[in-house]
Order: sequence, then C-alpha cells, then structure tokens
Amino acid sequence: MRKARKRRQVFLFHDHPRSGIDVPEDDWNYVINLVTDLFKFYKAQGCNIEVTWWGEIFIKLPSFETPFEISINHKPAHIKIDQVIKKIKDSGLARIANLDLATSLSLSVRPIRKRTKWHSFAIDTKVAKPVSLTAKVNEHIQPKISSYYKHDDELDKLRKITKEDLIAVIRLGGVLLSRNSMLHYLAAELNRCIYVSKLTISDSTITIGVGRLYEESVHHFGKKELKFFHKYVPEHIFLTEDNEINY
Amino acid sequence: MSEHNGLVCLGVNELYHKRNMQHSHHVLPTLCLFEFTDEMQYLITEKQALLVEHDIAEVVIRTTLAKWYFQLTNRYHYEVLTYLHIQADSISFSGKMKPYKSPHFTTPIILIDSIKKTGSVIKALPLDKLTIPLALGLIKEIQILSTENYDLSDLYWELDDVASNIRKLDEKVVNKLSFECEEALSQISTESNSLNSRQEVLEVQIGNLLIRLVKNIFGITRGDWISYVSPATAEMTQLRFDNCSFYEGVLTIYGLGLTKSGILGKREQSIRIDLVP
Repeated sequence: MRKARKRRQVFLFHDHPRSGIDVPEDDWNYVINLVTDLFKFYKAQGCNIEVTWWGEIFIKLPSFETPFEISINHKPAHIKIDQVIKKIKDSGLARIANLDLATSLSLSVRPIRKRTKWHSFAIDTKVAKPVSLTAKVNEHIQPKISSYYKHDDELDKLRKITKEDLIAVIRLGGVLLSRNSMLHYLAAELNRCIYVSKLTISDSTITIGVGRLYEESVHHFGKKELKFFHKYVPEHIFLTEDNEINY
Repeated sequence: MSEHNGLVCLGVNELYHKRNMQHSHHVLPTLCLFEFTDEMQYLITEKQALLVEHDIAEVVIRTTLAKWYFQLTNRYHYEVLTYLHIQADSISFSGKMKPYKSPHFTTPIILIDSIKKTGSVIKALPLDKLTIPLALGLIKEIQILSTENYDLSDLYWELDDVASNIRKLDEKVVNKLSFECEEALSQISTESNSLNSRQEVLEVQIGNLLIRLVKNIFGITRGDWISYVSPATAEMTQLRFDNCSFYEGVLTIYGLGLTKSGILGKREQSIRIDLVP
C-alpha cells in the first residue's frame, strides 16, 4: 500500500478515480495501523484480502461470493453536499452550520457489484483502536453482500489496468515532464478525442486507436518517458499486446 | 531608458474563469471550504494595514485555513497549497496541486462584509483630526500633486485643440505641408501623449495618498461602514466606504448608502469634506 500511495497521484487526472486510501501525511500512520488491525480481523476469519497495483483494497468473506472494497479519506460528514453545490451554483456562496472541518476522516465500503453505493463511517481519531468500527462495517456489509445471488464480473473489471488508467497516466506524464515531453502533446490530443477505442503501451511506443473507424496512430517515446511509465504502470503492460490485462 | 533589457511578452489567460489549460476539468476542486474565525479575521486586518502602508493592491499569503472538496471523488484533497489573497475589502483563495508548479484554480473574490458573522460597526468620521500635523502634511502633498495634475490637464486640452486643428487642415487641403510643419505636428502629438501618461501616474499617486489619509486620519479603510454629519447642514449620511477622490480642495467619499434599518442599500451616496479652508 505504501508503494501504491505514490502511484495514486494518477487519479488526479482520472475520469473515474479508483478507491483506496487517500489521507495526508499526518494521518498516514494512524490509518495504516487501523487497516492492519482490520486486515488481522478479516484474516482470522479466513478472508481473502487483495491490495491492487493502485492501492485498492478488496476483501472477500469466505461464505459470500461478492467481495467488497474499502476507501479511507477525508470527506464532509453529516451534510448534504449536493445541496451545498447547488446553492453555490445559484448564489456563489453558502454558509454551512455545524460542519466540523477537523474531524472528517472516514471509512467507506461498497460491495463490488455494478451500481452499488458507497457507505461511509466516521472514524474517531481520538480513540487509538476503534474496535467498534469493524463491527459497524460488518453489520452493514454482511446483509448487503448476502443479498446477491447472481454472478457479477465487476471484480474482474476492477482488477484490470484499463484504457482510462493509461490515459490518466499519460496526462500525469504530460504535466510532470512538461513541454519537453511528447506526452504533453499526446495528452492534449487525447483530450480532444471523444472516444478512444484502443490504447497500448510497449517499451518504446504508444498505439492509439481513435473513433469507430479504428484509425490507429503510433507514437514513439524515449528513455525519459519509459522511466516514468515504469513508475506508474506495472511491468507486464509492456509485454503484452492487449491493453486490458489482469494483475 | 538608455539600456535595453529586452522586451518581455506574456500570453494572457482569462482570469478566474475557464483557463485555456490542459485537462483542467480533472483537477478542479468543486468547493472551497473555510471557517471565518477570529484568528482569520485578525490575520486579514493585520495584512490590510500593510496594503495602505505600502500602497499595495493585494497581499497574498500561504494558508492552511481552507479545505478543497472534489465532487468527483467525494472527498477533501490534501496536498493542496492554498494561498489567501487579501484586498482592501475582499478576499479570495487560490490553490495549486502537485504536479502543477503554479496556482491553477481560484475562488471568486468575496467581500469580507458578506461573510462577517456580526454586522459591521458604523464609524463616525473624526473631523477634528484634520488639523493634526500628519493630516496637514498629507493634505499639502495631495494638493501639490493635484495642482500639477490640473495644470497638466489644461495644457493637454489646449495642445489637443492645436493639434486637431492642424490635422484638420492637413486633411482638408491637397497641398503637402512643409517638412518643418509636419515635424511640429508629430512633436505636438508626442508631447500630448507624454502629458497623458504623466497625468495617469499622478492620479494613481493621489489615489494612494487619499487612501492613506483617510486611514491615518479617520481610521477607515475600504469596506468600512461610516457615518457623517455635515457641519453646515447637520444632515447625516451613512455609507460603506468604497472609493474617494479629491477635487479643488474637497475630499469626496463614495459608497453604497446604508438604509435606516442599518443594512446596505442600493443607492450610491457620497460625503463631501472640505480639506482646504
């Protein structure tokens, strides 16, 4: 998870950022301890825990087919943020009573199925080990995941490195390596595309298929870009032809 | 301007709106949240004093008092470098996220009045302070500058008269003017241009001095609510101080008027104070 943390910078440029842990430096140690405890608890029950390249956490309880994912970050608690956004669009300014900016750390869970919603629990950082949190999560998630009976391929989809991920990596590269890199121009070009049908990266080229007519273009990159890609994209991406690859 | 350092030219982006920047829509926060605490208010007042002292239009400081909410991820993002922009009567926040190297988003500018918890205190103008030496000094300085400004203005318009007549003459007749005459014409136009820019410099200087005068003498800054009773007519005017000007020895303070119920009205009002007896 520590390694994945650096890669998560990619999600700033992602159209649908992936779940996981996004907390400031100050909270990191606390959160890691919390997650370790959580993992121990689930391991003891014989659960299968998976941490992906991007730092997503998937947990599968032994008796249920549907796994769930976990996110930890700071979010506004106890208020309807949609209403605030709407008000701001109307008047440009909104006052929110009883919103505490200091205590906003929360843990969210979602069953890995299509169109499922996240549910959040506030984390009380004053308590060293919030045991009750695990219980709360369990209480919420068990009935949820036991209600599904049909197979769903959402997990397989999440496990893949997708086109969207790669586009986000290219955008990040465009900003990090700035105007000196071809990624800068490629990112701009990608932003103008309405639909990208194919995107593969080899160790010296990026191939992009655009639109329905499947026009492919090949873009060559140098050592600087390769070094960058090695940081953000798993090794095997370069080896295979297909861009959607399993872990 | 004997030495040339080379001319620097910069591109222009629309400020505070959609900038022509790559994939900006991915990295824009949805909301900026902050609490207008006493601590923050004190900080702002403290920095606003600097504005007047050094003729600055805006002070920018780094702050940790604001949080940025992103709708896409439904969370606050950390590692946002936040800057607080403080102007005479308003504030705004701008921010920068890794890996960007300069601020790339900003909030609209908001009036401090509109976020204050308690309504503003209405201050009376202490007219008696106009006789203290500091006030007299400042008034003298303003007077000198404004006299220079009037003189320049007169000269500018007189010159303009001459120049436009010559130009008219040039257009009406087919005969070519002599070289000397052409030369004189272009000199007149150069002269009137330089007069114009000198006037602009003077106007800015006078403006700054006026702001300093009302701050030091009356203790008011832009955005303050003030009340004034005219010594001549005993009529009372209440307004929010937005701007001021000086003309022929009279200081005029403009601003939106306050209604009888003590809230900000819609009509612009002004207060005229004789600085020079």
